[in-house]
Amino acid sequence: MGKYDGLIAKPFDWADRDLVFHSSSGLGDLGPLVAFLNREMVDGADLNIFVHHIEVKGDEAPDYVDVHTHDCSQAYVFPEAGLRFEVILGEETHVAESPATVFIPPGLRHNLKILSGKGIEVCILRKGYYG
Amino acid sequence: MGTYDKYIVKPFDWAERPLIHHDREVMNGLGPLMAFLNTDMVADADLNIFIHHIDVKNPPGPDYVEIHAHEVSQAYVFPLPGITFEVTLGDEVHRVESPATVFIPPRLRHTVKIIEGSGIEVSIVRNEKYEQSLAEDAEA
Repeated sequence: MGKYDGLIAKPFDWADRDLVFHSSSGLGDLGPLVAFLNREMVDGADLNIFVHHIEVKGDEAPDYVDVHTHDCSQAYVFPEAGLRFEVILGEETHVAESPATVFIPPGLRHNLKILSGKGIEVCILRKGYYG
Repeated sequence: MGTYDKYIVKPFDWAERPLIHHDREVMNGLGPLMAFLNTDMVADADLNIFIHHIDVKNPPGPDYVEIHAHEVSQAYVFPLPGITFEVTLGDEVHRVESPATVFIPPRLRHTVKIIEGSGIEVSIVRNEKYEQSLAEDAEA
């Protein structure tokens, strides 16, 4: 065992665990939400990172998250082409295609809906836990 | 144009731009480094995000980053299986297979080397510009 082994974390499926403001069934319908970093996985972590594996199978993608805010910044990162999504920022609704990043400053109301396609979304919150 | 259009940004190839402590030519040999978020892209961003598209054609992959440290925390996220990498944390060297995350606390000296495979690496620095986060006198 090394001194820094605890800084290397293996991801795990968030499965049926709660995520405030989010519907776990709606999330799960799109594909597994996988926890990559939080302060329970790595003591002292000041970033919270999820990777959502997404595949929109039907014509209508589910709503799975209420409009909400955080007291820290957040980023949605869509690394590859292939996803189309709708993001609410304040009172505005924007539709965008991956690859793309959405930066959400502290206190800005937001929401996300995946409209079509397949790929991954990396969700990064600038503190060690979600909520 | 809305008030918040500025928060939705398209990534771009970092191409020949320098990145301190990194050999950009060698990095580009592994695949393109894409800028996904920084303060040039979004003025008030307090996260710096790069995604490196990696394909090691002749394993083991080359060294391309000197050991260094930041004043803020960082995470390397390898979201998909298919990559074997080596990460140096202080004076320890760890070999890891993706998917995995490496969290690097402020001022911990570190480097990373891709040994084999293909996929993506997401690098997240909890600060604004990458260069502004560097700590020149960190301890191992």
